[in-house]
Amino acid sequence: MLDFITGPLFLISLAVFVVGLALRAILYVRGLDARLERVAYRYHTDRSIPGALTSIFKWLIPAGTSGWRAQPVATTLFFLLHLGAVLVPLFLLGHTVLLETYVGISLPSLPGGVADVLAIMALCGLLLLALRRLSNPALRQLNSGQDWLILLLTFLPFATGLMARFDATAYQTWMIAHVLSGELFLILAPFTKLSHIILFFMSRAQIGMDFAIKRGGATRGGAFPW
Amino acid sequence: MREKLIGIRTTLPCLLFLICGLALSSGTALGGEYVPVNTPAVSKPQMPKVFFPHDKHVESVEAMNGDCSTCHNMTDNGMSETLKDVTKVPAKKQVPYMHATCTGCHVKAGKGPRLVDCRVCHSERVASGIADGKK
Repeated sequence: MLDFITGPLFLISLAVFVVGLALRAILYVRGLDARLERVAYRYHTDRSIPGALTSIFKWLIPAGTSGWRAQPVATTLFFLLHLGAVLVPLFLLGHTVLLETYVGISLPSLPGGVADVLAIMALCGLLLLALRRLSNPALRQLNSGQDWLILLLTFLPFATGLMARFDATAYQTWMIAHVLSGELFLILAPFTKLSHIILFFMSRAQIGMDFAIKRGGATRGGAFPW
Repeated sequence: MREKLIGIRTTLPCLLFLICGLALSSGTALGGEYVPVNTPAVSKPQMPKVFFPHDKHVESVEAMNGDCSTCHNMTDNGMSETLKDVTKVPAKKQVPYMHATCTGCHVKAGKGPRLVDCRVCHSERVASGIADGKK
């Protein structure tokens, strides 16, 4: 059982994650439709490509867009969570060893102390974002079960991973919980709002492209600034 | 306010006592059977050094009808202390070789830490306990 969870099930969940997210990207492109005001263009590539890349890039840096600047607290918490949520799963030393052994991909690894700090920051960011959702009446209205589900799916691997790291007395128990919750995250990502892992890039590219070509973008040159 | 002060006065010594107790018990629980893994030599270690219980491994290997040669090569100078064939692997591949060989055998045997259990072998407690013992 233990060997299945830490071996084949890991590979299965990784495959579901990668193939599933790739399919979501393909389905996104196939679902582009003018009736949804969601279009991409083959022409005007001189404006559309810089527009798409600028939109992605500016939303990846804190205060890079007026959307981020308008809500400094939410922005800070968002980056606190996402910095760790992107870097730790990919570049923690233990994860890179597993990836190299099971998949043959070797990635550089973070120093242990940096990974610890990033993981703690991510968990703090996540919990504060949850508090924000509860304390703000508008957000309480907007958040559905799905939104809480993906917060829980992210909370579990971080919480169990940190417990394994710092509670040596029950290390192997925490580790099994960590592996299982991580696999649950990977398997469910394509089917939940966690699909924003890939769809963020798709919709930013579409909007950046659209706004750089029409909606005033044509009069301002490429890379319309939002 | 007064109740709070009494709370701290009673809990603090209890905590100290508990910490001392834990520190003492972990020191004595180690015993002398841990053997360091010195090959491959890691110049910039990112994890605590591995010390493993050799006697336990001998028992398990014998129970599976193995002997010393299951894990060690015979050389002209007698039995090699390193794990079998590790020095035949290029230096850069020696750590992955150790990971794969150790945990591969644990999977076959159905016991012992698997590859995900990093800190069972790379144990700060065991490594620092042994370092303290040497002082």
